Amino acid sequence: MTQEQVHSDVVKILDDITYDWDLDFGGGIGPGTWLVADLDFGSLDVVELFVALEDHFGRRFPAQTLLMTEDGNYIEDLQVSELVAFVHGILTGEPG
Amino acid sequence: MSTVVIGLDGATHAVLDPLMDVGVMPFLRSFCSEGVRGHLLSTTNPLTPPAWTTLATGCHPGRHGIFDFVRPEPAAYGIYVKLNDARDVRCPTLWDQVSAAGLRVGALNYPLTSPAPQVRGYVVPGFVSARHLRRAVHPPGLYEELAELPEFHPHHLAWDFDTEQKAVQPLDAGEHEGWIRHHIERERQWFTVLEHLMQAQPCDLTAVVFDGVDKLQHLAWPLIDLDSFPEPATAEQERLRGLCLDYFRRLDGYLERIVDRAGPDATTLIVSDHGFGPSYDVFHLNVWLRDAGYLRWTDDGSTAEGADAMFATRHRTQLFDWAHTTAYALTPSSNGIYLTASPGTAAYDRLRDEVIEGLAGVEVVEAVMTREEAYPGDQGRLAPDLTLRLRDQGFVSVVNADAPLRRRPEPRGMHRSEGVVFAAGPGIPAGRTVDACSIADIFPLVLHSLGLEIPAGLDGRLPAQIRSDAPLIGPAASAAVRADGGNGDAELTPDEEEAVFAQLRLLGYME
Repeated sequence: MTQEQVHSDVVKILDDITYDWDLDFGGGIGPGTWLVADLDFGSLDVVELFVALEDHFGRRFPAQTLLMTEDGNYIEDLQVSELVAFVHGILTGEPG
Repeated sequence: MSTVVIGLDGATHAVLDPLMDVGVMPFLRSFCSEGVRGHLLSTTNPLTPPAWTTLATGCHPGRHGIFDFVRPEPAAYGIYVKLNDARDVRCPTLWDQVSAAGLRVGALNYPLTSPAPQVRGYVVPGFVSARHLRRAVHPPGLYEELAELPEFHPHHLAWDFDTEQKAVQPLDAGEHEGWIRHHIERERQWFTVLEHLMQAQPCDLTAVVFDGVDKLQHLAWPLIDLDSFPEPATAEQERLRGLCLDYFRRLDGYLERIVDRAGPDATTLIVSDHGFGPSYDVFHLNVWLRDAGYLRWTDDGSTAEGADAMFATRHRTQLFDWAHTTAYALTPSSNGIYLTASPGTAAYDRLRDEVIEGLAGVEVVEAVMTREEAYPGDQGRLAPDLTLRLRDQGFVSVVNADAPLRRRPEPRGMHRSEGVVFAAGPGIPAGRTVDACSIADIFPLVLHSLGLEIPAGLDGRLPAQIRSDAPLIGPAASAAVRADGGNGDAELTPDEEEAVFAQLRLLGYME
């Protein structure tokens, strides 16, 4: 699966999750979209996002490697491009 | 032949009996005369996720793998806290079994049913926020159907995690009314959905959980329990008690309408996942562990009781100095201690024995169980290394404080092992109080009521005090292990997991 295909699938999932959220964000979800700043994600929304990703791609993802920093803190926001690279890296065994 | 299982989260005879006596729950009183009533014994740690999962699987937590709302997983530094979901349940559920037998199932507001199982029938999971409810229900299109119901409001129906956190925090003066009214409205929403679906999509097995009973008892125990109600009470306390009674009066009306709609040939079970009672003790377990030299905070931790909210857990893990922590409590709800030493090593055995010995001298600690004792079974390895039972069966506190022990000025409602079971229907005697049975016994009781085989190898058994006719026993293989094994382990392969543990050992966080 190419990174472009993963990007397309991830954006479809994000579109489906957020389509009735009454967000101010406009212009369509793209690689530079921030989950928290643009899409108003909270920590539990991230949990649901990973459930949706895992259901779609048919495997679990080690979310902690994406969401936690090396010093044990949680990241404050995440861009779609980072999420896509992470998913693609797990699926292909090639860390993005 | 159909069966209805009505869950009243946290319901206890100590509260329901007086409410029946004073005429607040007249239907439940009449229901008792037509069937049986008794205690339903909860799981080792009487807590919503493991207990409802035991009811839904007929297996104890050591086999189904759910011990708490969350579970810790190793991360590069410290731990990563994950929310349990349906994929973490390692045994077949009622929903799986009944649907696989070709019957229709409807399940509303049950914990650990998201992602929803693909059953014949419908599932509206519990523990899902309004934002995600549309995608969480099964089958597709059901949400849109429910959204057409008069006064349907997903924000009232679904879990509001910010609001639910209050269940483990003290309420400010003036917040009680909003809290009680929130749950009155929430139950009305669930009942409206249930009544619609019972008519539009009748099922062989219909199951619903009303969880406001638990929530009200946690924060309004002195208003509900007559032994705890202030004497003399203020006008405001009398008014709030009246509001609590209104909650139970409405709930009784819902019970009546559900049983009426199910019809005279149906089997109806009214059950709780655990009981309730007053708790005065506050045991700050992590403070005790710190004072005993097993834990170090990164700074001063947090002394706010609100920080005990289960969804503050992720942030709390950052408060531990992992390089100097060998034992820690993650959540109040698990009453558990995790050790950082590797099981099976001499260091682990030594550390565990030391902690047990130390806690034996704490007056509020009634028992300390190893996970082999508390949770026998192949999934027990996922449980806390130690599980505490406090003398008043309350939850521990995991936040920082000046001292390990304090006493509340007035009681908080906390869980108890003895929940309730009321049952009526074909083959069930009338007007009888029966010996206690296990919450694991409900699974075989439900299958039996539907004329289905009971798989061998369950922890539960058909409770003869409720149904004494001979059950059909099926092969063990159908239920001993979930067909797909769950996929809770799929995230990390053994090699990946070992790599993480090796990294932790290298860093000195594990032995």
